[in-house]
Amino acid sequence: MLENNKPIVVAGGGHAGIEAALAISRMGGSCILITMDKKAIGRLSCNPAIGGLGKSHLVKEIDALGGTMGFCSDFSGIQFKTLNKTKGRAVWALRAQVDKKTYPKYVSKILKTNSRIKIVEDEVVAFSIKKERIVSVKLKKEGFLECSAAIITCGTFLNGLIHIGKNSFSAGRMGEPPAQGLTECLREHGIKTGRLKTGTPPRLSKNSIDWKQTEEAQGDSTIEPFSLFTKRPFKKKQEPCYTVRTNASVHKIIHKNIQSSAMFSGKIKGVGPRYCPSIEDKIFRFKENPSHLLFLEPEWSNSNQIYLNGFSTSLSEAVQKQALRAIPGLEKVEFIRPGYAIEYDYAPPYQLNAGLMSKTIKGLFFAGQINGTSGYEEAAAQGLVSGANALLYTQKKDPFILSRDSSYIGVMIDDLITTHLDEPYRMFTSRSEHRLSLRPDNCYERLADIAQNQGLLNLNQKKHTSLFFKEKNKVLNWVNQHKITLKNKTVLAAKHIKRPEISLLSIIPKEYKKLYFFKEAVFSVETNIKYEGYIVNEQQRMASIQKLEKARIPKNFNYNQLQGLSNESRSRLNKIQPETLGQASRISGIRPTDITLIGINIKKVSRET
Amino acid sequence: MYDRLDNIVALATIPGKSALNVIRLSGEKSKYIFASLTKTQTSPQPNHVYLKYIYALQEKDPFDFASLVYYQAPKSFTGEDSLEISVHGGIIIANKLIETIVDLGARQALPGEFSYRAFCNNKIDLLQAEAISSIVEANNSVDSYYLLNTIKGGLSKKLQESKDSIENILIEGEHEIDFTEEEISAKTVQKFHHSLQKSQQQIIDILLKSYTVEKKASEMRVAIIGLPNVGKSSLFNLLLGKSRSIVTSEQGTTRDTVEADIYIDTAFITLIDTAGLRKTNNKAELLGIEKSYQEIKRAHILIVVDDKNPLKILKQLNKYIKKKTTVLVLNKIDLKTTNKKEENIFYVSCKKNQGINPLLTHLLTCYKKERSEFQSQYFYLVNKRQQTLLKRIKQDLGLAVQKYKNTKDLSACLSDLYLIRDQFNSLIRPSEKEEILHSIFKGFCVGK
Ligand SMILES: Cc1cc2nc3c(=O)[nH]c(=O)nc-3n(C[C@H](O)[C@H](O)[C@H](O)COP(=O)(O)OP(=O)(O)OC[C@H]3O[C@@H](n4cnc5c(N)ncnc54)[C@H](O)[C@@H]3O)c2cc1C
Ligand SMILES: Nc1nc2c(ncn2[C@@H]2O[C@H](COP(=O)(O)OP(=O)(O)O)[C@@H](O)[C@H]2O)c(=O)[nH]1
Ligand SMILES: [Mg+2]
Repeated sequence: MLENNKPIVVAGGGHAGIEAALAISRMGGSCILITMDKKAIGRLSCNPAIGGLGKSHLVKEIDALGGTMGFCSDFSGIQFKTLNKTKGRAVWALRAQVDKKTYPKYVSKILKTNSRIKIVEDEVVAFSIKKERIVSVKLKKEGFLECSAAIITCGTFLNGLIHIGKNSFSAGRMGEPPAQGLTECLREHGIKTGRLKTGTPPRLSKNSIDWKQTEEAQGDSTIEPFSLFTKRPFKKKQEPCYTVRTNASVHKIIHKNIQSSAMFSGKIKGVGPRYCPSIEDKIFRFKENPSHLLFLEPEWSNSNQIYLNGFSTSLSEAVQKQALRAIPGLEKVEFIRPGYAIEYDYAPPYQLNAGLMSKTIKGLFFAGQINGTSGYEEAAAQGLVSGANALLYTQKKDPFILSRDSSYIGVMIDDLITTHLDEPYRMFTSRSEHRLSLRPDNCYERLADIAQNQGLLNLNQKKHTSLFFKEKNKVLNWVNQHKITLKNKTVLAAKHIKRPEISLLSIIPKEYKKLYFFKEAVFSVETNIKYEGYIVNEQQRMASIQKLEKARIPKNFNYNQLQGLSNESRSRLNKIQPETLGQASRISGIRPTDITLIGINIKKVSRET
Repeated sequence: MYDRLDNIVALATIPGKSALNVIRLSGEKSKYIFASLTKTQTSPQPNHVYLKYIYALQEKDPFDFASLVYYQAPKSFTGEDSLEISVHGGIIIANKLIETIVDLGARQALPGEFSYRAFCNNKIDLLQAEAISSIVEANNSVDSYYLLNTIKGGLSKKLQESKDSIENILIEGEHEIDFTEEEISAKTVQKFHHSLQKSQQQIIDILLKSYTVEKKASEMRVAIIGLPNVGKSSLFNLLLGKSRSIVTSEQGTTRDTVEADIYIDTAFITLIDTAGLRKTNNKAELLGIEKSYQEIKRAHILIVVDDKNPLKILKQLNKYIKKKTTVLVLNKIDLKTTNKKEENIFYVSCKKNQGINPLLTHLLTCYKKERSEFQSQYFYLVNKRQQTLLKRIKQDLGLAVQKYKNTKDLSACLSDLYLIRDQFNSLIRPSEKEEILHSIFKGFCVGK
């Protein structure tokens, strides 16, 4: 079935690798997933939660494209909460705390029972190319393996270096060895790499905490699942988590011992994310804040291991402990594992095209943390896109590209390939210029067609997606046909719901409650109506951008011969080599007049050839 | 399509009989052209005035004695290397100079091309460019005062301030949405609403203080009001006669308002005679009275005339007049016998031409006071583009505030604010495509 009968290799069994392998299989291809530790497939390296601000939008889109992350989170979730409920429904964000044992187990089962995916426990240490195409990967144990394409999803493993206080040692993440050799091979083949860092808080022993002094934080009373393919009605036994607050004594201890922090002593060279700051960062940067909120989250159901959300750190273990013991309730706290920071190699993603393939080595794809992103959801979304594109590449088909106006995934990939990252990239809703159009509730409307056309949905997913649309249309028909009688006049239901205080739920007849997707359908119809004006505005803006997106810049376009470009613009364009005028326009420092100039010249070039 | 790499040259003064002509050049070759024109080897110092003979190519004898100034990039109007050359008047010398410069590798500039380059090089924004384009047409000192203010960046600064206030709301809003996991508190909602209203008020203020093409900034309207037959028209005619010159005089029906432009000293004033205010059933007269009330609203200074008690009339009209500057005139003093005089009332007799001079002096004082308030507070929106965009911003911001109040939907509100921010950008410094910019600059004259 594969074009040259050689397999596609997926290097890495993290969230990116998983979605990549599954996407290939749903589209009818097959692949070999090579990962360093079979038991670590789908492991959650950091917090026991999926979704949250900005990220839940990605999980929903992954779901609409047939991916597995949302479905597995629903399955293994132990607390569900919608954040941002008071800030407008376009930015509602579902966050599921998941059982860290169940999640990877469930994901592994899905992979292992998939006949199109072969899992091999080994390590990719190098690859070789012929005529600018990847032809094989080299495995540590098994040696060379010929391939038609390879997807690198090595996470934090490439030359990973863990720091705890003054100690540092090589590791991919705690308890796992690093991956060595691949970075060097990438560099040999002209791919630039850099260094980033991220950190994780300590894990506390449940029995060492005085729970009476903590505050309980419950999940939502009525809960929604991420996935359209999770069975309705969605019911779950939820577990609470707990909160404590830091105080002046805690801050003082950290202040006094700051030199023990690997980050502050200058030992860590990689740049960490600004928006997920370590506790030492928070205390130094937000001096005016007398106290920071910390969450105590069980890592799995009935777990003795408690994740201390909000206390990511690279202080020495002794200082971490001393500081925490100044918090009421944690006076006698014991660690199962201290917090740590990890430094790792990444490959700046401007070297990729919109299908996540290297611009210089054909058939070589990159997804996840190695592209400089941070987070499970970001990794999974890229994994899905890279998987689909690897298969399409081997079939010599057009790439699968999501535009900025189609999805947050499109926004993310476009950002990655056009901007210069100086810190790990994570998803924010504000990164999209079409936020009211890219909502969680309409992700299926936005993506179902694309997913179907690419063959990204399996039979069951197709069935549920079309059922959802059918039911949604029923609700829509009612809204567009039914008249509501008010005091002195009658109005169409669709018009009536436009008023902010009117909900569709309160006026739709009872019999609609029988619909399988009742809640989702009603919510989606209602939101579309309420946001109509805004969406029209956004669509006008999208249309004006469309033209630029469609204008392709020929490969190896010669910016040097373009008179009128500033040297600065020229060097940026040369570095990033945008594929379209749209991409070029988003490179920082490039002016509209530059775009016009390039525009005129690409027309000339295409006329000449 | 302007080509930004060329060296461009143009006559900056109006062709015709003049003592001097100024020729302007912008581009990389400025230094070289300076050297060739003046046949000197040393390169010119920036911002120095050089008095030199200038030569055409291959000619031994100079064709003029000129003053030349070289400006070095980026410290020039266009942001590029530039030359400004003043030559003796008459089109022959100017043309010869331009031809010579063209021979040296420049080309004739298109309309607005200098301003366009200044805009592209971030030396000026669009508001400034448009003011530069309009200042040639300003026919009075007031217009040119405002235009100069805009050229110096006064209007841009004011608009930038209100754009900044919108951007601050955006930043705080985004922080709330993307970084704050807790739900929004009633206090924060209140804060957003308050900031929105403040931004809205800023825009309303700018618009209130703005003059437009139709609503000329040069206009200082002084209306004469009062009951019928108290001598308003008599006073009007008297003031016209006393005024230094009559610019125009427009005649309506006796029941309509009549206006004329006059100078009192250097003050340029539009004087208006109105129909007497009283109850009537006559349709035409009603219309006239209606117009009188409109004029009360529109005028900057009101002269309240009465032959008995102007203060009483003023009090009766108070709700129309509000806080406007008023001048009280008691007319027909020739018929009165008492000599009792109150302060702040001007006692005149139109018939006997008495008491007019103190009134004129006082009017001049009022004018100056009004004008100085004007000058510190007012802006001149020079074209439809500026007026329409600013009005749209006001309208859209008003809607956004209303919607946020009703829905409390922060994400939707920010979407509105992003559009409004874009409108600010199109107003001040559009990142439009080149074609659109060209059509804006094309309306300028050559040499600007
Ligand atoms: C200490 C730490 C703290 C973190 N903190 C945060 C945080 O605060 N916020 C946040 O959003 N995210 C955080 N993360 C990041 C999050 O875990 C990752 O973004 C996400 O897991 C990336 O997914 P991935 O698929 O790219 O890689 P990973 O999940 O890291 O998976 C990589 C996989 O590739 C395999 N592998 C690696 N190299 C090779 C090779 N050469 N050959 C074969 N297999 C290989 C590994 O065995 C592993 O299975 C943190 C991660 C760590 C380790
Ligand atoms: N005695 C006297 N009569 C005046 C004076 N001013 C105007 N009049 C007369 O008052 C009448 C009305 O004057 P007019 O200017 O038409 O008043 P208007 O209706 O307020 O415009 C005319 O007959 C004038 O001659 C004045 O100062 N003294
Ligand atoms: Mg009259």
